[in-house]
Amino acid sequence: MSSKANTQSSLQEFVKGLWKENPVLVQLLGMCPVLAVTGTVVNGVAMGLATTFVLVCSNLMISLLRNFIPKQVRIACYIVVIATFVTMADIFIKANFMEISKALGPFIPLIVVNCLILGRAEAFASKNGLYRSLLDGLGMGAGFTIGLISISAFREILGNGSFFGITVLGSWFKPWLIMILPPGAFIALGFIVAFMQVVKEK
Amino acid sequence: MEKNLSFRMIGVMLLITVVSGMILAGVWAASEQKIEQNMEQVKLEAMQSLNPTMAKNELTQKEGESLYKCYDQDGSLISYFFIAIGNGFQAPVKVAVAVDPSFKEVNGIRVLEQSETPGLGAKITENDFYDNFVKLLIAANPITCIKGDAKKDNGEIKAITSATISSKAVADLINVKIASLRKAGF
Repeated sequence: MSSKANTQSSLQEFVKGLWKENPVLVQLLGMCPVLAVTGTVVNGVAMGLATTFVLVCSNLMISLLRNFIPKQVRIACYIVVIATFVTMADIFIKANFMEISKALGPFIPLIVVNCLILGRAEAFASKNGLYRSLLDGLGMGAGFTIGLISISAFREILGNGSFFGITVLGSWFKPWLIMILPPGAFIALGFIVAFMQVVKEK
Repeated sequence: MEKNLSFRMIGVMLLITVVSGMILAGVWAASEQKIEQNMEQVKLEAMQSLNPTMAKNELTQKEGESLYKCYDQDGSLISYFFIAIGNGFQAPVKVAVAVDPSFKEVNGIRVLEQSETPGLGAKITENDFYDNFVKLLIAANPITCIKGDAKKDNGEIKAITSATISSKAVADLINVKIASLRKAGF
């Protein structure tokens, strides 16, 4: 009985990040990369995956060290752990995906200050075991990626007539340039968050 | 008790930072070569795109300065190609430059590395900005950055709107490099 309740709630641990507590569309966390890199779907996906990698690794490491780190210096320790994984991701992308590294520029190192990651470390991983922290990290990372994909798809389709770099709207379509420019990020985010609220109310 | 806690805090932080540092050193050592290869590749691509007719190139050094001499198929020297590095708005900017072998005219530039503000200073990587440097005369004056209409025969480039610092940084770092190459006797 207890084990059944446990598996059910661990599934919820994963699912909550996708919809009910989606970091981008509901919690509005980590808005800097969300607004900055969602000009194209490729950048959105790359940013989402890099953030997910960092989030899962830091959640695991912090959960593992949660009884070892004195609580007075916990934030400093979390930042060192997070910065280590971010630098690893940055080096990996630089070595293997030069083009993506050029496109995302300074936003990869800036994952360090994404409040979503420190937020999950403080609110979840420091109080829960390895397995649950892994599920939480995967769910939140997937939710973050979904958020980035929906905003960048909205912007790329309207702003460039393409999706994932492939033209989807014919030559009759005149791109709304503003959607690719920074204001487009705010407009897209506003509409998508409003849509989420309408769906939730029903 | 108090003292024990202080030691523990320091010890744990020290341990975490040392282990992190070691892990990163390992990751860096494993990737360094590949990153360097990528950089080399980017440099070669820039060289080829600035000298479309280039058939071969040769690295030349003189008094601590170095540049690539680019030759076309007939073996005649078409341009000098070099890398110039300088400070941008907040981090170093690395630019590839091709000039004619008498240093009278810039043939073109490509920005290889930069961390300028996205949407503003980062426009130094766009073709509109590169066009400023195609056939830019530098025989009389060094490159200057001006707002409004620029005269190419006077070494003038048009600054990017709201990114004057980044535009000026690119002009300055090229001027500095050209001056020291001239001084070295190229």
